[in-house]
Amino acid sequence: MNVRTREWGTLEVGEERLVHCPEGLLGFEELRRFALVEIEDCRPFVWLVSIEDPEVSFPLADPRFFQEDGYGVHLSPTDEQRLDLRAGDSVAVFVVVTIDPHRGATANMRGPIVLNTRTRLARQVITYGAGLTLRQPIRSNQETPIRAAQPAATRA
Amino acid sequence: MLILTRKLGENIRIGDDVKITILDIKGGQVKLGIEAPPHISVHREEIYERIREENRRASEVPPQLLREIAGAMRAPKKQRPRAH
Repeated sequence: MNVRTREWGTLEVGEERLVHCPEGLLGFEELRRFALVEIEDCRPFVWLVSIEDPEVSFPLADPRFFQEDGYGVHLSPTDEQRLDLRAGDSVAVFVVVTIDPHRGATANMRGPIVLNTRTRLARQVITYGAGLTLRQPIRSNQETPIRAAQPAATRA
Repeated sequence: MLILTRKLGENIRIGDDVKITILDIKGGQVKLGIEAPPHISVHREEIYERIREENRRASEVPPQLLREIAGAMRAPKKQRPRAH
């Protein structure tokens, strides 16, 4: 299907990239249908693009970029039910990325988005865990967190 | 809103499954014990607000900035001598 976006124009998105969030995301409860889009020069990040509002998209990342020692999400029976999770299903876990002026890209490790790859149902869940923060900087082999250069004066 | 007054050690029941106990009252703080079945999630209100705020900030990330960070992540890392 075609998905209109402000940033990338109209994108052709296959069914296998669609994501349905029946409850929306916190603060964006009215948006339910999304597409998971890979933009070549944004790898390893992916974008969760709203199908209903071309102005809204969220950068997501694999939690392993932010949590060296692995990252576990405990799903409650309600989570499993909402995702229609059955034996044999696999889930994909994403963390929502923001950019902090001092710490560069950070991820919200406390509110991951869990996707059932069979049903394409997704839900933002709340997690607890020692050391998990809402703004976890990217882990990297470099000495300092990766920071963006000064914002360009003009948008590409 | 239903308003109830409770003393230390007293409980409130919500439905058949949820029980809230006043465990401690000190200064301006109340410590609550909450017993609820696993399908009922219990969180502090602030966590919802903070996640909402992070989602809002994420929706405002300029793709150009993310591109720069992504580019730096993909760049080959410099080999550094390792001490043994």
